[in-house]
Amino acid sequence: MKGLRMRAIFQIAVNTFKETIRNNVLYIVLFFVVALIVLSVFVADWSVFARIQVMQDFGLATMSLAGLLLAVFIGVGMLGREVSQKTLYQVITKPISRAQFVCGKYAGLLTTLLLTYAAMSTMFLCTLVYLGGTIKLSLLCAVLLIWAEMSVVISASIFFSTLTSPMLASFFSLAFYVAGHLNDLLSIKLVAARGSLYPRLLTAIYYVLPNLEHFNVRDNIVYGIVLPPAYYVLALVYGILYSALFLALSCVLFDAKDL
Amino acid sequence: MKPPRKILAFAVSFAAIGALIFAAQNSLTSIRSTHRAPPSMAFVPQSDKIKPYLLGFHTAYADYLWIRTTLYFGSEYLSGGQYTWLVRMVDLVTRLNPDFYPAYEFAGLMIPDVCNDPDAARVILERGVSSSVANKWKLWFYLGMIYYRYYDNKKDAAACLARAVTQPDAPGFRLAGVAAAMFRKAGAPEEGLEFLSFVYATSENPEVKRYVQGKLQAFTKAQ
Repeated sequence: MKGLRMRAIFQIAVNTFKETIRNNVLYIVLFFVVALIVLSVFVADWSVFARIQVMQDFGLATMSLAGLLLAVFIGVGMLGREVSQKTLYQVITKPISRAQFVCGKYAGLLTTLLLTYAAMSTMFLCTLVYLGGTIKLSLLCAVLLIWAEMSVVISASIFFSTLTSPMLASFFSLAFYVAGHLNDLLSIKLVAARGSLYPRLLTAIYYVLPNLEHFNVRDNIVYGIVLPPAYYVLALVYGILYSALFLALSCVLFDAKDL
Repeated sequence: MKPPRKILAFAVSFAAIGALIFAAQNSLTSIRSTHRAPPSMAFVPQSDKIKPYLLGFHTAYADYLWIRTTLYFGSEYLSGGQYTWLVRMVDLVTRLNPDFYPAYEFAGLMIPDVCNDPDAARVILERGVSSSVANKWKLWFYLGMIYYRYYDNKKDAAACLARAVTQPDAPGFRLAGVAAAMFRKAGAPEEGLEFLSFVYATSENPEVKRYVQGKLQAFTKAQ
């Protein structure tokens, strides 16, 4: 029974993967990322830093933004399109639960993103080696953390797309990304907060919203400040937990949705 | 009535995930606080050669760089750092936006001591006094102080203070006294006398005239 459930999720994931790799948005974003990584050679020349450091920073930032664009524009449209084009009915009339459908979609999109990141990383590392840089483990870990961050963003965009229209879900997903990166500021604000309710409210927001800055280790790579391996493991666990939380909420909401 | 088992299982799972997230969040924050990198300087350009590529947004970029500069200064101050990039950043801000007064003031007050680089501060301030910023008298004053304190060049210091007096909004009568005293210390009392006479003749403010007249009498008596 359990094997059958996993098989259904796998089949939906495979279909989603096939569907997303046919999406033109993916190739447009990939083209711009490759162009930006190649252009970063010139940007690196302008900086006060050694060009390798700038190249690393620029490359990782580009990959992060590309992941965000893909997560939002492909992730949000996925569920909405299934509903609006009525293709969803062909799936849920079969012995497949809605939760399996959501999990399958998530897994498919995550696989597409993994493949995209593999392609972007290859391009990025080749450019780096061409410029005389070396491939360090910390650099690969940074890419892995970006992918983990995007897995959280995708789960959040699926959650928003079960709640509202694709347009609003895209907007909320982008806002979620921005708020997640600004969450670090809340910890600073908490120190200065006064009163009985305000600091508690800030603390609640700080713990409810994921702190996406935990996945950002670009500055550490640029300055060569080595983070302990435990940090990378914890950050991955943190990403998995948030993804699980959003996915579980999406399953509950999608299950209760009147289609 | 008992809640259904499914809801109970969900509630327990959410609570467990929440607790784990709380623990992971705190651990990650604590590790990051001990391995904190300074704000990235990777996108600080090497020179103002990028100005044409900024498509007219060079003043906006200067504002952004200025924010980065203050963040960098703060992080270096807290970590007891060497302020390696500070001079270059302030220099760039003033090159991209030559009318950016706070950067000049920062250069005059902080760079000589903090970065131990009075030469850089002098160059930036010289750019400032030839720009069209307001409060220019302060920049001439800082420049004078740099000549006096770091180069032991009282004559140039006095000349800078004399220039400060002639700027709009300058506290003329106080500065005039300091400048004249500086000329005397530099071994050029006649230039100090000439300067005081000039201020007395050109000033329209009766209070300044009265103050400078007193200084002139004291100056002549001392000679």
